[in-house]
Amino acid sequence: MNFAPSHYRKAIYGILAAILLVPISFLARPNQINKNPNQAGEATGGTISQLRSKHNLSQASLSSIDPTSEVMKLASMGLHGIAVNVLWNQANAYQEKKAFDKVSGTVDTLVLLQPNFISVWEFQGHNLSYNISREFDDYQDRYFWVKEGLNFFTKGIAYNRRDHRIYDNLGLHTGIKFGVSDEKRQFRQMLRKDREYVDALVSKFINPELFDRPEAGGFDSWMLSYWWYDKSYEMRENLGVPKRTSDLMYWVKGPQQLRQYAENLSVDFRPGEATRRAWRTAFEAWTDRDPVNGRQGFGKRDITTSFGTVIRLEDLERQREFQRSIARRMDELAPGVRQQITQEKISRLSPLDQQILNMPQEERQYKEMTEMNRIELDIRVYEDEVRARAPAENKVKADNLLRELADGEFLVSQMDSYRYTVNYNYWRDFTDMESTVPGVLARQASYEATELVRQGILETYEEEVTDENGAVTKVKRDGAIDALWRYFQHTSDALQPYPGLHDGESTLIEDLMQDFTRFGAHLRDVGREWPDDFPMQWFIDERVRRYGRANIKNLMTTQDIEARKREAGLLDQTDQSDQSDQSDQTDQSDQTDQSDQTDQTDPG
Amino acid sequence: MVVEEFRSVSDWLLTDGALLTFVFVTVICAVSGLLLGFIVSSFRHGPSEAFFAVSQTVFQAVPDLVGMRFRRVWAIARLAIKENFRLFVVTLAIFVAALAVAGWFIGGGGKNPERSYVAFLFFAAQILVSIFAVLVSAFSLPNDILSKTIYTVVTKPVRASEIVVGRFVGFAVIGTVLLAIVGGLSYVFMVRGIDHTHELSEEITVDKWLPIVDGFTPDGRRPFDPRAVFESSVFTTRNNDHVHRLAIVQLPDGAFDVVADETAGHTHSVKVVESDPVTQHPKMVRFGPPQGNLRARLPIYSSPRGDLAALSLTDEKGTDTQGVNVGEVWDYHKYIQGGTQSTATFRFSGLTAAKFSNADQVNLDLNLAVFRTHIGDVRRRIEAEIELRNVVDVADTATAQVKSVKIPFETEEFKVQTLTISRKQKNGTIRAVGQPDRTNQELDFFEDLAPNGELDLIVRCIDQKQYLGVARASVYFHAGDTSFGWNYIRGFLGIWAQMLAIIALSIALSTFLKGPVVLISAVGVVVFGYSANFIVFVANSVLSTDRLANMWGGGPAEALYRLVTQMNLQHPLPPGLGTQMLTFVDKQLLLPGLKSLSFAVPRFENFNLANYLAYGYTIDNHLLMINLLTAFTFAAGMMVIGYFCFKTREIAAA
Repeated sequence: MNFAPSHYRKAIYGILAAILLVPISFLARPNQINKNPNQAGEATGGTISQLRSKHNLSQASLSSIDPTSEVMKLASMGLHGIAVNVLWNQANAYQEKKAFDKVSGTVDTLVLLQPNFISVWEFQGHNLSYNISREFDDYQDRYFWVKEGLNFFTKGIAYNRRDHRIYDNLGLHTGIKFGVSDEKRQFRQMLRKDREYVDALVSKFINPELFDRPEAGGFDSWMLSYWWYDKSYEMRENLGVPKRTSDLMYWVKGPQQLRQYAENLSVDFRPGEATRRAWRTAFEAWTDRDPVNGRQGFGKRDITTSFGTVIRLEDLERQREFQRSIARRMDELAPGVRQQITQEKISRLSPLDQQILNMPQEERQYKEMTEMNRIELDIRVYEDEVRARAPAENKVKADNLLRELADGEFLVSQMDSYRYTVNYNYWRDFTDMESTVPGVLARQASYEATELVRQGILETYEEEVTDENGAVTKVKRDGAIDALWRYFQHTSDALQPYPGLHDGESTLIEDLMQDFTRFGAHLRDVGREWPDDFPMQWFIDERVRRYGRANIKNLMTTQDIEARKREAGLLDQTDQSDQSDQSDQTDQSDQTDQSDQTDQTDPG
Repeated sequence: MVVEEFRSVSDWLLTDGALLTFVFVTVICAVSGLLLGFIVSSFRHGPSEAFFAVSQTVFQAVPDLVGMRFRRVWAIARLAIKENFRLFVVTLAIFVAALAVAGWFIGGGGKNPERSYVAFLFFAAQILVSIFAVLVSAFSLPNDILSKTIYTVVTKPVRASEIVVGRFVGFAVIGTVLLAIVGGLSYVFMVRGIDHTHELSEEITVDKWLPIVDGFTPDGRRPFDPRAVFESSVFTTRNNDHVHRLAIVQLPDGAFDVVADETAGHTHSVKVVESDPVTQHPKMVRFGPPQGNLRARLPIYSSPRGDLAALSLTDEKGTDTQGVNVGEVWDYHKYIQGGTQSTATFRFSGLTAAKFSNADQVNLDLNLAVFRTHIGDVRRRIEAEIELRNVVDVADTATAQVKSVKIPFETEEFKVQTLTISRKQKNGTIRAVGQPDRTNQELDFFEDLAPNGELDLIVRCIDQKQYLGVARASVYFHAGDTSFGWNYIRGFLGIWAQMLAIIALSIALSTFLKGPVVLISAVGVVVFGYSANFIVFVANSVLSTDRLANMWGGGPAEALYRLVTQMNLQHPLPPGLGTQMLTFVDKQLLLPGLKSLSFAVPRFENFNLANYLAYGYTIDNHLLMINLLTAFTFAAGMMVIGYFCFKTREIAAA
């Protein structure tokens, strides 16, 4: 037989192809059911199959097998990338032309082709509930499209059984759209009684009783969003699905919803014991243990930082105490050194700085307090300075302590920084304060004041009341000014134990400042002056002392009140001289602010 | 519904230049055909022989055309039908299989399921019939030539024209039968898919009827019917992925009735089965079939009157304007400012009582857009008003003005809202201005307000700093409804026209190309035809001298370059010879060439009339006629080309 070279070539190709089958089989052999009971569950296929099992990437482990989706993918014959492109373009074009029902239909088809691509669910769910809903003028249509967006997300749950982000998005969008948007009042009101929506589309995932709150008048959006986040937590904790977001921003969500729930409860309804309990729950979920779902509180959660260390936000105080104990041990190794260095540093300060340092804390004004921050840094004693003067025989022990201290400092800085990111201290103190009796009484008084202002009743009035005998008596009723007075009294009581809440800028401070201004305006409306014994005068004075006159705008300080009294001749000469001494001191420290004061003070 | 073009057949033929384009394309085809024939023949036989050959072919066409006999054409057609019967059955089976799983994809959800049904079914029918048309006509003639069975035909006393036309007729008949069956099946599928009824999810006890206080329900909703006095907190059962609410409404005569809301594009008739013996509130009800989802509204749109446009706008000072741009990408709606003198005037002509199915109640449909510059009161919709005026000739002072009072209404964006005006009124919304003697007289909508069928309708937005969006199709008189079934058939006529065009195209190509090549070429032409609108848009924008009209990214060659080099659209091309060449290819060759070619193929996109059905409007007669004319003209042209190609082909050489 005579073979042409081409025949040889073909034979070689054939042999090579056959040889290649061996590695291909090794790599791509499909998984098989292991009949050996001892090895059940172990992957027995090729390398790719084993990797797929190991990382839970098979279609069955990613999601329920949906025949519609599979048919779509098969029918597109490998061109489903192009089909996806066309559908995205179509959806965009429909949206541009405001054919929103077509957008919805196109998107439903689109997700059949990309069921496990989470960004598609995130983008389009957001698109439906935000962008499309806002296109409608009628708030009821908007409500419909917000629910369409949420329904869209729920469709994604079955396709993404190992991805918590669908639940996260449901929590996020339920919370924000119903609770923060312009139409939140209407949305929340409608949702409270929307049993049809809850029964048909939510109850498959969450027991409606969990967010049907009698104190909130029905289904509550914040509690619903809380339970969506809880589903996500359940997935992470029980199924061990991989986390897709940072721990800090992930674990904060559940407790945040409880806080929002308490906040809305205080605004939508007359606050009472139920509100106080809601705030207490929010506080506990924030710090220690969530009493609603029994899970770990936010402060007690293990949070992996970007440096790979694991911290708990609630451990900060303990860690600081530990740092101080090390400092004490260092002092034991170098007795008296710290005081010695401190004295040396103080002696190097300028006379003015020394004067500020020696001044009692409560007498320091805004400028002194600012200077004091710098002085504290100047006289701070560092542990390595102490170690340097330690006796030679203790230097090795001091070195070990220094290393421990450095590690601890790093943890403290991480905890501090992570706490700062989520405003941990503020919300801890705030929820704690709101859950006290004075806190709730303050909320109650504020609610009543708002209602009275709405009715146009500012001052005390008399109401005729008929008793069971038919006798008519006149009963004095509070006006808005009285209610606000009570509000400030209770707020003062509630706020004093939490110095952290007086500091800096926050929504609480901003709200209080507005309330003061509102109170002043109501007083002017009825021809009254700013009272001498205002319950929160201490708060205003403290703000001026710490942050300057500009911080309180045109509110009156104690000095202003005293000045007013002097003008009215109500103070004797001795008092006047005392006061003028004090005011001189203030002038010295804050001349610029003082000049503003003259311009801005409103005598009422 | 969005209607972007209002064209009559005469406008299309004359103003839009369809007739001129036809003549131009015909001349170009004829001249280039003659030239091509002459050149090919010259290579074979020399120039003088070629001249005679071409002349002979042209002149023989006359007897071939005149001498065509239906008997012979039908005989060829029957053959074509017989040989494609199997493919017909297979295609039908595929369609039935597609229908079987179609429910998975369409679903009953969404606001208007009938729109999804119509869109899917029309798309499926269009694709299926197009593929069928290409397959049957692409391979028939080449296969006959290849298997030499063509000899059994050409050796018979039959003309080349009859072979070409006969095949066209045969394929058209089998395609038409297929389309008819597909249309029938899909109609039944849709009607069955949409048809449903509901039951109450539970008995409606008296406490479940929520009273309407100050225009709202206790849970903060506006009742779905403005006449409602109670709304039920009990829903119907969830069928076809939706539920309905119920309301007790008070009728003008003081009686009460129970109605279901409009959800998923329809409502249901409601019959009370049991009422509360004390309060008479309905406890149990029975629902009828869906109503209002499969309809075909017959609109009378505004139209130009002399030099005056069908719709014109004035700005806040009352001067003519093009409308305010509120920043939307889609400039379909033109916006007028609220609380100012800004108006939108719609000019209507041909309004006669005979055109209305119920002339006693004239329905005015509104589909207005809204743009808020501030949130205002969330619970209130934007308020607007309309005013109707008869058309008074300024010179004719004797003609009195009759107009309606300003009729205020709350807009309902993305919905068709209907305002009903009684035809005959005494001291109603229609008033005679400056004619005290007619104060107590009865005025007639048609005789007094639109005496010669003409009237002006003025729309204003009442709310300050808010805007109202209008387009020509936003306001129309609703003359009545036509049959949805008949409208459905008219929709399928569009697909039928497309099928004829594709069959003719494939036959023409098959007279000189082999089967697979015909398939690819025909698909290419169809895709080109589908993209023709886009191609013309790109060409116009790139070739425009107005820099603002230029699209980023340039023409096809530049786009390819940017795609390959991953260069973004805004980045200027590097200067040099390469860029000059790219620009030359785009601006001098490709885009002008593609644009010119786009006039020679039908715009297949325009054959899909599903939108009319989906949104419940009667398909415009003119639009249908334009589609049919386009398809017939294209098919006739293709037949002529096919005939000459077949005539000049040497069958034996194949």
